[in-house]
Amino acid sequence: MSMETHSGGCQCGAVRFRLTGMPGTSSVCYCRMCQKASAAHALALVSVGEAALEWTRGQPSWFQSSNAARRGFCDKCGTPLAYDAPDGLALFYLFDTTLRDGQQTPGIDFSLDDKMSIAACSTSLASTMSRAAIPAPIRPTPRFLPSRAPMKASFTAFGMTRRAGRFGVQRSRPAGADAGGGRCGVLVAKSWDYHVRVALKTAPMRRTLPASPTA
Amino acid sequence: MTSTHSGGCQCGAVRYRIEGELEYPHLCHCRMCQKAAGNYFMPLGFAPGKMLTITRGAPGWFHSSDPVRRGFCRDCGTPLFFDTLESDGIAVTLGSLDDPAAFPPVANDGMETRVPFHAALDGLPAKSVDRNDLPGGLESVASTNHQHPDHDTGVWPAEGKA
Repeated sequence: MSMETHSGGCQCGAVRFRLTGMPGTSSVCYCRMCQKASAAHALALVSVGEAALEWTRGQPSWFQSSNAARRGFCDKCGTPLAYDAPDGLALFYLFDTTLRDGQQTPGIDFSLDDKMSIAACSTSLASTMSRAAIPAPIRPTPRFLPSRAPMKASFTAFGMTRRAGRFGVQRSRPAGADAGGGRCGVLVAKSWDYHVRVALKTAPMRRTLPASPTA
Repeated sequence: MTSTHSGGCQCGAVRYRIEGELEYPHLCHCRMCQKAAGNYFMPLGFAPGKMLTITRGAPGWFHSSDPVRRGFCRDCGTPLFFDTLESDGIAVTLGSLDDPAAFPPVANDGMETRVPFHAALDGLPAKSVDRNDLPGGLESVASTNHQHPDHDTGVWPAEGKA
């Protein structure tokens, strides 16, 4: 399978780069620091995301615009090239549990068409920020799979069951779901103790889930 | 009375002053301006004659073609000038002005290479600056901001900011 690649560089060509794999979010920033750095009304950026960044010719010079970030540019022609924060650009992950690949709780039943249209809507709202979370269903009915989803997103599969006398993250993995070895932590919370007492049939408690992703 | 506008690069090593009003503020979408700006377009306004004075430092120059050179800060990279050698005057990047809204663009140039989604940019989801991904949040940027302020300064970097 061929990987998506994007090449680029400065105006004079002294610094060139290549992105291999799927980049993250593209955005346009109007903050005064990006305006000043780019001398424009806005600065267009794409997060490197899951792609690999390689400087294929030369190296950018760096200006530390604050302790939190530095900006790369070509010192031969000035072209702004990169914005680098210690932990990368912020990515907002939209975990949409309505896209689970199995039965919903009776009364909240989404058809395959419903899920496809929810996925399309998520994509239009957040583009590559979308991450579909697929809680392992009690009875897996693999219909809404990554291969069929109209989303440019990665998928994270996890299972979570909380019942009286039983606690844990399911080790089972929905058929067909593959997060590509990615890691994720899952935080589960209920907004109302009624849900805990009636739906989960247990007493309210605070507990940290083990970070043990199944995919 | 002549109006004065100041500007400069992000780090403040190069500062300039304009006496009068920039002419023909516009967005240039030509591929050379896109590449030089590292952006979708380069906003430019023309300062004829000796309207522009460099008040601190000196820009670096890149000859993007024989007739044209582009000025930038060698320390931080900010694109600053577009200089057609034969012409009497120089064009200034509008975003490097201390007031980037001082000269609203009156035209789009280089439309043949404008990015196809340009007109849709205004319809994108919008949010304020948010750096909650950083341990110290936006404050960790604001308190260590090394950007030159949007006005002339007697000494720069300010004490303790070097």
